[in-house]
Amino acid sequence: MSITLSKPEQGTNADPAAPPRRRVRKPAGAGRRRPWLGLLYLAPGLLIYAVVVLYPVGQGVWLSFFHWNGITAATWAGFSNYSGFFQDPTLRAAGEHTLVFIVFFSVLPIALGLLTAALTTSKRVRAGGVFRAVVFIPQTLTPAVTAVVWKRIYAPDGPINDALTAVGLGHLAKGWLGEYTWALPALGLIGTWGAFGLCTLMFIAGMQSIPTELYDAARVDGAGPIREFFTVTLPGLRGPLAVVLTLTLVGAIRVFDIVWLTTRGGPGTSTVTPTIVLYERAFSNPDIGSAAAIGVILSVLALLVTLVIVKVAGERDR
Amino acid sequence: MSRRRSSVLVGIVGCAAAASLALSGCTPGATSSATGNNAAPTGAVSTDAAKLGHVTLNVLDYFSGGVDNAWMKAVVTAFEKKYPNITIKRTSMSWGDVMQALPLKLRSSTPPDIVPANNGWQSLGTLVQGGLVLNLDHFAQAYGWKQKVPQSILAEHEFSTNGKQMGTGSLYGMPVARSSMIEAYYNRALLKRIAGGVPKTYNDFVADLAKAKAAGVTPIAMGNVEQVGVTTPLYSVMNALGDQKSIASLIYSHGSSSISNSKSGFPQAVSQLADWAKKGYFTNGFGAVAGADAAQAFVDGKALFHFDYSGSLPLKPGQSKQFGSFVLPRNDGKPAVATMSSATNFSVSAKCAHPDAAAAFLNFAASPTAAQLATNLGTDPMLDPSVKASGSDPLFADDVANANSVTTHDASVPYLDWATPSLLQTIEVKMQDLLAGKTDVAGVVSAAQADDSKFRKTIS
Repeated sequence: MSITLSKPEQGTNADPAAPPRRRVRKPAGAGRRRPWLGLLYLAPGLLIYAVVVLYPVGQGVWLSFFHWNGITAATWAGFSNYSGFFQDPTLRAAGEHTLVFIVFFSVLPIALGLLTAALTTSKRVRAGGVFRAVVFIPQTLTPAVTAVVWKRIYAPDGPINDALTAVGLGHLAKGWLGEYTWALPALGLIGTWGAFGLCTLMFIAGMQSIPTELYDAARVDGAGPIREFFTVTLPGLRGPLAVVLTLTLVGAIRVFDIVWLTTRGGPGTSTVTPTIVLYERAFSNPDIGSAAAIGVILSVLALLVTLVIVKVAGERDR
Repeated sequence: MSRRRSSVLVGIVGCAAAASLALSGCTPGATSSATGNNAAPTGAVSTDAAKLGHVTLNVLDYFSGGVDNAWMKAVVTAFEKKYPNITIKRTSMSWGDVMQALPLKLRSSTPPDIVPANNGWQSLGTLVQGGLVLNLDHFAQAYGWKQKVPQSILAEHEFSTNGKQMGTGSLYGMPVARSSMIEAYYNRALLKRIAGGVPKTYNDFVADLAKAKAAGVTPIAMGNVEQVGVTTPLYSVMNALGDQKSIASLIYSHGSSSISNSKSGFPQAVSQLADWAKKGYFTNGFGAVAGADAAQAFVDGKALFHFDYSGSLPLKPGQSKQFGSFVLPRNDGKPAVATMSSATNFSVSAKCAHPDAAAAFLNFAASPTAAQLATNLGTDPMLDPSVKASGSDPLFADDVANANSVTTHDASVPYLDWATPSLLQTIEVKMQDLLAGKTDVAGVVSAAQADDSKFRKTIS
């Protein structure tokens, strides 16, 4: 056991020269064997990971270099599936929609979450627990349920239009998901609604772990609540912020269910996303190579986003 | 993270990824040429299934629930009773699961004997190209299927042996005695209120629409937020205004007919629907209405007509008395043409060890007995015009009469979306654009034509 426990020590040490220094205290030779013995312990997990994740990933990458209908012999495509990705007008539109979704799925919920968390933790809010539970509920619903509910809410005779009519704004009532201008933001708001609870909860948890002395110190230095937020609260939330950013950004890049279950990318192509195109190419009109290429590009994008966030958040930690 | 650990990890991940690449490093897909093994097997066919000895057939189907499952169960029971030496082992999956798993299942060393490959290029067509399903020509001859099944239905299961032509050549699947067709439903009370009649001609139908609108009744319930709602009225109007042979030829990509030609009925149907939308004949705000909501609104008595697949209205027990159905009449007075197919296509795996027994089951599933089992269960029959609806459900009596009329007059056309793998999507997107005023009729027609031409290049 002591051997495995030494692994994390090694991991937390930033200096690559450190392990040999430590080895002095251990029997000779143990250190040399250590990484491989650790690997042995990791092997079962790694094996499953290789079979379930790495092998299919390799297969997916490989498939993206072919033209294949899923049954008959495939033909080599080289990089044409990838160059096709950047030339396809539908996919270009899909990429633009993803940018809009990033605003709705990531930027808005984080901004709103920060605001809500700041307001509810700075003062003792009555029934704060109930409030937190309520904002978190969307996170617990499956997208299929969310889609059905919101389809109803946005329907021409749905509650939003009823409310508008009731307050005398009937001229603003419209079939939200059927309008070329409104369908995309309407779907985006569903994402905001879904991610808002998670963001709020993460930030509240983060704020509660900020030592109160820091606030006291800031106040002694004459900081107001806004100054306090930017000099104490926000830097203290770097960890939760990185987590939430990663989750929501990746969520925005791969959004599929909400769109597929409501508008299927319509009206026209006004809400189409790369994942919708991927699904159609993989399952409805089999062009598996180009579907795989879309998948690879999205994965690389998600990986890059995650790496950048981890790097930025990690650097500031030091 | 220490540099050392990360380098080890990168190494592992790299090795594993490289290994997986090497493992998958062969060209995906069938390696053998498809055309070699697609000819009809020769040799005697035994049509007396009772003499085949003890055989177990594995059947894959997507009849996983409701009346679908009840019918399939009844057919299997009746078949096993008739041929006690044959045991049917069913596996039922949802439609989507079957479609995703079918190519893999057929390529495995122990595929199911009978499979529900979907008609059209995407499923059956590619399976024929891959040599994965059996050519059934010799069985068709032995059982006389070409005489028993209307040609317009049988064509839906035909491909050339190289899989490059559809609706002609050899038989690679069989219909069953249950239909799935697009019909127009009407509300009996509302039709009476607007003093209209069940349309006998296309003009009657258009007149009913105008009367309904004038009386403040929504003429057609339609919800198109999922893009698909517009297809049922579109296909129906196309069948009423176009030429049956041209529509079939277009869908089978035979090259003798094009979608932009008025003989296909497509340009007229597109412009007719645009006109109806302009006149407010569809559900208010249909572009944002869910298809299921529109169907529910029709059942709730909020619209006069609704186009939908047979048996798919969300009716509660007893409600069906309020409704009737018909196939949209043609404008030239000829028998109405319906977009109709068998509820499933059954094909036989190329690796099936007991093709004679499998063919016997296919023959039975398409028999008058199977059609009668369908009507007994209250679901639309096919192939046997003599079956009558049992019970006193007037809507079901209409449905059975519609299916029988199409069988009698050999008046079915396949689904337009079988024409090319992407045509349905192209049409759906462009129709939405049209109905929102973002494009014109010519825009829709030329987009559909471009899609069709592009596909035809790949098969010629």
